[in-house]
Amino acid sequence: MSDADSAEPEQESDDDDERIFSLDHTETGDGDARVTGVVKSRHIVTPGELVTAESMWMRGHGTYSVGVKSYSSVAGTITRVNKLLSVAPLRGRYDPKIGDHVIGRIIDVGTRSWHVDIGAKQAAVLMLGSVNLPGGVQRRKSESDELQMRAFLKEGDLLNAEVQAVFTDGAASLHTRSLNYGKLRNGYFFTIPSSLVVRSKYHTFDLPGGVDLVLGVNGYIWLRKHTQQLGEQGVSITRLAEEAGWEIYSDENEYISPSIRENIGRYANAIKALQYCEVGVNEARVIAAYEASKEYKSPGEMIENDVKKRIAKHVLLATKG
Amino acid sequence: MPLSLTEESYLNVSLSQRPPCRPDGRNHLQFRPIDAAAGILPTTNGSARIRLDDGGECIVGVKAEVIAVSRGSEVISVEVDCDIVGLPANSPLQNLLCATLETAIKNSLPLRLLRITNKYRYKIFVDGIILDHVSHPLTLFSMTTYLALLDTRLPRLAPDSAGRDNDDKDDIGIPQFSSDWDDADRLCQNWSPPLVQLGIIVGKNVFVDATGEEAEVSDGGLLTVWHDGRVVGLRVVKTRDSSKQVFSVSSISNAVEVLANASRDIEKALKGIITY
Repeated sequence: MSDADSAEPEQESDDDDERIFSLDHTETGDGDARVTGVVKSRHIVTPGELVTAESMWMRGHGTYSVGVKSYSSVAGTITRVNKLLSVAPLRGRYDPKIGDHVIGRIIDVGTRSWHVDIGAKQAAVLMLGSVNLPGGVQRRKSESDELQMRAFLKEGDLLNAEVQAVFTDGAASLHTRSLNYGKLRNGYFFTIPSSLVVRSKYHTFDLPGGVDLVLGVNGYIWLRKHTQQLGEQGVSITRLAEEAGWEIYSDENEYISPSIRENIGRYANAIKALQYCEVGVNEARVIAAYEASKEYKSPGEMIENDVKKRIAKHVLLATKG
Repeated sequence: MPLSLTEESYLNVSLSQRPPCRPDGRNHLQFRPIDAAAGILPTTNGSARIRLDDGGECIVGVKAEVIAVSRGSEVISVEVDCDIVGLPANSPLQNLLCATLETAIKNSLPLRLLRITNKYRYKIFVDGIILDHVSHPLTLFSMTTYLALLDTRLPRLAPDSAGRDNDDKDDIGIPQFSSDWDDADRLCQNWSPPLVQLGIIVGKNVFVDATGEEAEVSDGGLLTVWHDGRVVGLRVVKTRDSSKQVFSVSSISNAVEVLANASRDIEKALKGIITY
C-alpha cells in the first residue's frame, strides 16, 4: 500500500494556479510507486502506468481504477481540469467538437439525410435541410427526395463542412450552409492522423504556388488548384439562394495545368513529411516545408525517409517562436 | 477504395498526361521505400519479410520436404500457398498470386537442385501470408518469395551416406543429412528465382508500384514474369472492377519494356540484401 504523502507544500507554477504532483518511483516492499504528492501536467504515461493513488481526484477518460489507485489505460498525456484527472491519448480517432471544420466522404444516402465518414467513432449526419439547395429551391418533402438527393451528393463524394452539433452518443451533425463549404473538386485527397492537426481559426489556406489547402480538423486533407471561391466575394445570406447555382454540385473539374498538379504533389509530400516526423500541421509549417522542399527538383525525391526528416528539421527551425 | 468523380478525374488526367504526374511526384519506375529482412523464421529453410510504405506487409517461409520419387521422374514438386488476411480462402486474388508464382517457379527451377539421391528428392513448399495490403499485393508477394528463396538452404547429405554421388547404383537407404546447418547448400547458389511484377496502364503510360488510388483509376494491369535476365511470361490483370481486358500491342510491348527495367533493378536490390 502506498501512502499519500501530504507533507509536500503546494508549489505555484509559472503559468497558472497548478498544484503540481510528481510520482516518486522508489520501490517499497511490494513494488508500488510511492506518491510523494506532485504530478506534472503533460507528463506522458503508458497503459498500465500508475497515475495517482490519491482518492481526491475524479477519474476521467483514459484512466481506470483498481481500488483507490488510478492507472492510465492509454498512451498519452495527463491532463487535469480542477479535480478531474484524465489521460488524453496521443493517437485516437477524431473526436468531433462543435464548430470544427472537417472534410467528409458520403457513405450512405438516406431519406432526408446523408451519412458522412469523417474518421470519427461514428459516421456523421448531414441533414437535407443543412445544405444549400441551388436556385432558391424549397426543401422538398415529397417522395422524390431520395432520387433528388443523389443529384446533389452521392456515395463517394467529398465535401467540407462544419460540425453543427454533437449528439449525446458522440455522432456529429454537419452543415454546409455557407459558400465556403460543399462539394470538393479540382484537387487531391489524403489523410493524416487527426492528432497532428493544429486547431486554428481558419482551416482554408491560400498557399504559394497556386494551391489551396483545406486542412480538416479530422485529419482529412484536400489540396486543390486555387480558384476564386464563391464565398470569398462576401455573399450575404439573403443572396445565398440566387448566387449558389447548380455548379456547386458539379462533378466536373476545371482545367488544371501540369505545374499546378506538380505543386499539389509537392505540398502533399511536404505534409506527409511532417506527419512522418510527428510534427503538428498548420499553415506556417506547410509553407515552410514546401519552401524547404524546393531544394529537391522532383517532388518524387521527398518520399525517402531521410529527406522527410531533413525537411521536418528545417521546418521546426524556420517556424520556431 | 471509394473515390469521388472529381478525384478520379483529377488522378486519371494526371496519370494520363505526357509526361505523367503521379500524386506523390514519383517517376513511373520509382518504388516507394521498403523495409526488407531475410532469415527471420528459424524453423524454415528460408524466410523473408517485406513491409511497404503504405502499411502493406508480407511474410514468406520456405520449407523443404524429402519425398520418394520413381526413377527417371522429371516432376518438379513445388507448392505455393498464400493467405491474404481479410479475404476468404480460394478468392480470385489468392488464386492469381499462388498460381502465378507456382507456375513461374516450376518452369524455372532446375531439377538437379532438388535432387538428393536417385530415389529421393526435395519438395519445396512456399507459404506466404499477406498481413495487410492497400495496393495490389502481387509484387509484394513475389518480392518476398524471391528474398525467401534467396535465403533458402537445403541440408547436404552426411559424408558417409550411400548413393550420394553415384547415379547408377540402386540406392537402398533413406538419406542421412549432415546436421551442420552451415554446411547446407544455398538453393540459389547458381540459380535466381523468377520475379513477378505488376504494372498499371493508364492511357499510354505504365507505372510500377502503384498505390491503391492509382490502381483505382487505371485502365488495367500487366503482370510480367522475369527470369534469367528476360521476361518469360505475361498476363493482363484486373486492377479495378472496370479494368479493360484488351490492350493494343504497342501498349503491351511498352509495358513489357518498362516492367523488364523495373525487374532488373529490383532483382539487383533484393540480391544486395543477402550476402553469401
